[in-house]
This record gives sequence, C-alpha cells and structure tokens, in this order.
Amino acid sequence: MKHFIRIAFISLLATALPACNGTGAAGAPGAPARDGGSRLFPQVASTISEIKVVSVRDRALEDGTTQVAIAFENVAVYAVSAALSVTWFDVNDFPIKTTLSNWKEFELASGEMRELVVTGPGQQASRYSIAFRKSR
Amino acid sequence: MNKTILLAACVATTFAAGCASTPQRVDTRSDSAPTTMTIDYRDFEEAASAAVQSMLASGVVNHPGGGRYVLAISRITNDTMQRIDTDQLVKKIRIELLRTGKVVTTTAVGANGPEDAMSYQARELRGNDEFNQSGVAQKGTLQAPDLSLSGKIMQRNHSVGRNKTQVEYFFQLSLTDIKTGLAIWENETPIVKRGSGKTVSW
Repeated sequence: MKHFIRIAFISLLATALPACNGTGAAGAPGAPARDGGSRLFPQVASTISEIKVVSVRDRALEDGTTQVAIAFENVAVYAVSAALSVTWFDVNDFPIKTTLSNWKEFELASGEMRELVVTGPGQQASRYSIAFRKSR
Repeated sequence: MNKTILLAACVATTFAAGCASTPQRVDTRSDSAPTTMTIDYRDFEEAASAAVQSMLASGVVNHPGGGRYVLAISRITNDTMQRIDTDQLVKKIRIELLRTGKVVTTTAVGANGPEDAMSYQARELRGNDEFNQSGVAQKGTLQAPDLSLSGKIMQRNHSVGRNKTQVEYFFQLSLTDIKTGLAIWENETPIVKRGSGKTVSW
C-alpha cells in the first residue's frame, strides 16, 4: 500500500511540475524539429531547432537606412515562445549599441509563419546579424 | 526533548539560509525573466524601439538638406494607474534619434519650460565685466525647434475569466511640424499583459 502511495505521489508531482512552467511545452523533449536554416541564410547567426527561417530580405531606404524582413516558421508540433534579435554593425564591424537590437518576443503556434520587419539605426549600420532564442 | 527541538531549529535555519537568494545583477540585453503586470523597463524599451523604427522607416526625420532636425519635447501624459516618469520612454527615443544623426533635441525649450535652464542663465552674463565676453553666447544663437514630440501612455484593465486580469498599455506618440502645426508622424504601440487577478497593476 505504502509503495502504491509513493508511486502515485511521484506521478502527481511529475504531472504538476510542468504545469507550473508557463512555457513548459516549448521545451518538451523528443518533439520533432528541423534545422532552423541558419546555413541557408548567413545573416542568421543562431537559431533554435523549432524555428525554420524561410527568408531574409533587406533593402536600403531612401536615406540609406537598412530595413530587413525576416520570415520564419514554427516547425515543431507544439507552440513555441521565442525571441528574435537583430544586431547591427557599423562600417568597422563593431556592434552598434541600440535598443533596436533588443530581443523581440513572439509566440508561434505549430506550423504558424510570421514575418517581422526590422529597421536599422540609420546609415551608420552597414551589416546585421539575426539570432533566435527560446523564451523562458 | 529539548535536544530534538534544538536540532530541528538548526536544520530549519540551515535550509532557510540555503534558500535565501543573493541579489543578482540583471543583464538587460538578454533578460528573459517573466514580465510584470506593471510597466517595466523592457516595455519602455520596446515602445521606444518601435517608435524609432517607425520614424526612420517613414522618412519623416530625413532632412532635405542632409542636416539635422531640432526636436523639442512637448507633453507626454501619463494616463496610467502607475506613478511613472515618462522620461523613461522619451530619453530612449532621444538617444536613438541622436545616434542616427538625423535629430538633435533642444533642452532650451520644452512644454514645461526649458529642461536645462543654463542656456538662459549663462546669457545673463552678457555685459558682465567679470566675464570674458567672447565666450558668452550672443543674441540670436539659440536654435528654434523644427519638430515637437508629444504623446500619452494609457492603461486599460479588464477582467478575463474568473481570476485573470488583462492589462493593456498604449504608447501613443505624435511628431508635429512646428511651422505648420501638422502631425507628420504618429504611432501607437500596444503592450498587453495577462496574469493573475491578484497581481496589482497600479
């Protein structure tokens, strides 16, 4: 009887713990995920297995400011809470300190695609680098 | 019996000490801690970043002659239930715009008087024999603003279900061409948070 109660208690604890974690589903082990496509897009410095980068396009605005459109998709079978950041570099390849590089949080349902447009910090930015990370 | 109580107290103290967390510096560049129901520094950064990106993308701060626009900060109203300093938002926008080289902010003119009174106080030295007059600012040297930034931060609270609250914040900003009085750029960044109804958002 004691043994049964112990097993029941452990099972209950195991069920309850992930429920306490708001983003628990995003980190579910063993779930299928594909390569994020960072090799296809050299501007993508790092990504997570759940996110596939579909396209990265950029253009120069009238004054020379760079604007980037990043399309990405959740290829996992569960919803993902993640964040994206674009780091901007000046002509000497030094990172530009700007709040425009802050992590931008997003949530994607399984199979959902999103396109984000990010504008650079003026003409001083000559290069950019994109990174994804999981949200807590 | 006393020994048992003493031992239990010792064990409890050890555990309590072990659980006490030491203060940690937060890396604001990569802070992924859960958000708060109130407006935190990440919300200000997100709103400022969205505003600056929108301004740059619209081209309204591109001076036709390639120079810089002079910006005056007008009134930014705090219409939330929190005591916040709207400079947390405005300062970030000013810094970002200054970095772009397209906009410079005047501290000599503002909706609530000059931000830096020294521009005027230093001019009172004009004609004072104690000061070398070549270093004193001459008449007609202050630059009038071309643009004015004004706005409002709003908050709306809603009950969602039995125990949840949805708090909506709206960061509304306008850029006015002072010569014409026309709002040449406007932006609204909504930040919506949903959490326990017990969480205080004021």
